[in-house]
Parts: sequence; C-alpha cells; structure tokens
Amino acid sequence: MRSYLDLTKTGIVVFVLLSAAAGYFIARPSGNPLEWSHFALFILGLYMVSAGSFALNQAQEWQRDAVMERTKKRPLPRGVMKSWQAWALGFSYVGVGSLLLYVIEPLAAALGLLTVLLYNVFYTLFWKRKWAFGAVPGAIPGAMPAVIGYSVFSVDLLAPECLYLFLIMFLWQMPHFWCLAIRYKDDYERGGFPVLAAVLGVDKTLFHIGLYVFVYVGVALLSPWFLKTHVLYLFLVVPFALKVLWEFFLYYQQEAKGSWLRFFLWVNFSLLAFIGAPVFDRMIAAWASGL
Amino acid sequence: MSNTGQLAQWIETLYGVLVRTNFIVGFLILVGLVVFVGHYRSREAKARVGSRRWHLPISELLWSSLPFAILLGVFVWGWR
Repeated sequence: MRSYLDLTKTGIVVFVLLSAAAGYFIARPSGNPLEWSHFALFILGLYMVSAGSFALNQAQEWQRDAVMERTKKRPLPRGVMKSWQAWALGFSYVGVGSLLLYVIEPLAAALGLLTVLLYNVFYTLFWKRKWAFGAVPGAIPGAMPAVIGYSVFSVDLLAPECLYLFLIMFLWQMPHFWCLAIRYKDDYERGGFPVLAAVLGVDKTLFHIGLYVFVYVGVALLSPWFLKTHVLYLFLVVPFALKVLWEFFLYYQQEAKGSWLRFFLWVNFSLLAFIGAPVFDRMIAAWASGL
Repeated sequence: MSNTGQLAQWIETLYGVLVRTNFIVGFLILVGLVVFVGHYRSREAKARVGSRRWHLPISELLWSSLPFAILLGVFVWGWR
C-alpha cells in the first residue's frame, strides 16, 4: 500500500484534486443542488489520470531517482516494484480515468490527456532535463486541474474565474518548486537536473522566487477583479497574502539558510486559502441571497 | 428587509468597494515588485555563482520578465 501511495505521489494528487474541486464548484451553476455522484465520478476520473501520470513519471525517471537522496526510497529505485508494473499501472489509470472524465464531459477528458502529454512528454523528457527555467512552462500542466474542473460546467476557459484559478495555480508552483530546488540543490545536480539553484546559484534563485511571490500574492489580492469574492477575501486572502510576503522576506534576508520550511509551508497553505476562499465566498453569497 | 436580505446587500456593497480599492492594491504590489528588484540589484555584487555557467543571460532576462508581464497584464485588464 505504501509503495502504491509513493508511486502515485498521493500528497501531490491531493492538491491536484483540491484545485480541480475549486474549478468544479466555481463553474457550477449556484442555483442547482449538488449531484454528489457526478462530483464523485469526476474526482475519481481525475484521480486516476493524475495518479497514472505520476506513476508514468516515476517509470520514466527511476534511474535518476536512484542517485538522488530525496527520491532513492521510491518504490522503483528500491526494487519493490518493477518498472513495467509502473508503466502498466500508469497507462491503465490514465486510460480508465480519461474514459470516466469523458462520461462526465468530453472537454474535461481532452484537457486531462493534454495535461498528461505536457507533463510526461514535454516537461519530464525535455524542459526539466534541458532548461534551468523548465519549472515555468512545467507549471502549465500543474495548473491545468483547476481548468479541467472548470470545464465540466463551462466551455469558456478564458472566463475571468477560470483565468484566476489557472494563474494562482501556475504562479504558486515557482516559489514551491524553487524553494525545494534550493534545499535539495546538490541532490538535483546528482540526478542530472539543471535546476535554477544549481545553474544560477542560490541568490539569483531567491530573486526569481521573489518575482513570482509578488505576482502570486498580487493576483490573489486582485481576485475581486476576477470573481465575486467578499467576506473570506478580507478575512482569509488578505492575511495569507501578507503572511506569505513576510515569510518570503525572512527567507530572503537569511539568504535561504534559515526558515525555508516555514516559507515553503506558508506558500502551500496560502494556495488552499487563495483557491478555497472564492469557493466558500460563493457559497456564502448564495446562502445570503436566499437561494 | 430581512436579516438575510441585509446581509446580501452588505456583501454586494463590500464587493463593489473591493473592486474599486483594488486599484490601489495592484499599484502597491507593482511598486513593491520594483523596490524588490532594486534591492536585489544593490546586493547582486555579493551573489554567488552556480556550478554551471552556460546559461545565457538573455534567456534569464526573458524568463524574469514573464512575472512582470503577467502582473502588468492583470493590472491593465482589471483597470480597464
């Protein structure tokens, strides 16, 4: 069971499903009662696509994982699972998951397959291996689950609400990943990945994290321009935005030597606030207007 | 008017205020970003250099302009 959870990167899949659920609930017409079976089938389909995609990723990278301290205990490098098993599980999960998404909404299935293509082919095989800034285009497949959730109820993927979710998910990944890249710089170098911290150094990586932190926090603070957010914006988004900025400055001042974990955790918590607040604000507004 | 109706009206008013005041928020974030870049440049001399030097500065310039472009795009779009 532990090997299965490690192979499918369950921790990250939880974030994928939460962001997809945010897209689903924001696009859902607020007057209609929630169909739990519809929602459960969507979540199951997306779970299978994302878990399958992560299993494929580990089958693609297990030789590199084996030389990295952080990843050498994954099931394939440890030898508790064969690579063909990971390939088989990955492809079957992506296939069945896409079929489930197709039943819910063909556009969601198409976007799911596009995400797998971007992540497992473009990011894993090229961007991550060749570019120091590979995390930036690589953040596109990471931001897609929210769009997939949105596409279940709306084909207008350029709607402000959908753009907000995409931007928040996209921008969050650079501070998240580059913070890890600084922490595990030597490890990534051993694995042959030219991460930003290894190529440009820690100082410049901190600078680039800072640029994205400002824009990430900025887009969150400007969320009333994208969607109807009210009470929770004031009580959740604003404090979290200020806290992330503050934690970044502590991290920056200590030149990444000290509070990396605090900054890393606050960036992750803030994502939950930034994508959760509009969903719950919408529910509060619907309740208050007497629906 | 019922309590729920008053609450709904208050929420609508709050949303209107937030949309208008966010112009200032957006401007402050843009200023903050410029100040941060200035501060970084002032300590850049001390910056450590990574183990590989093949990375082209022009590509770094292009990649680092992306966050500016996104924030500026959002700001202009919201202002409009």
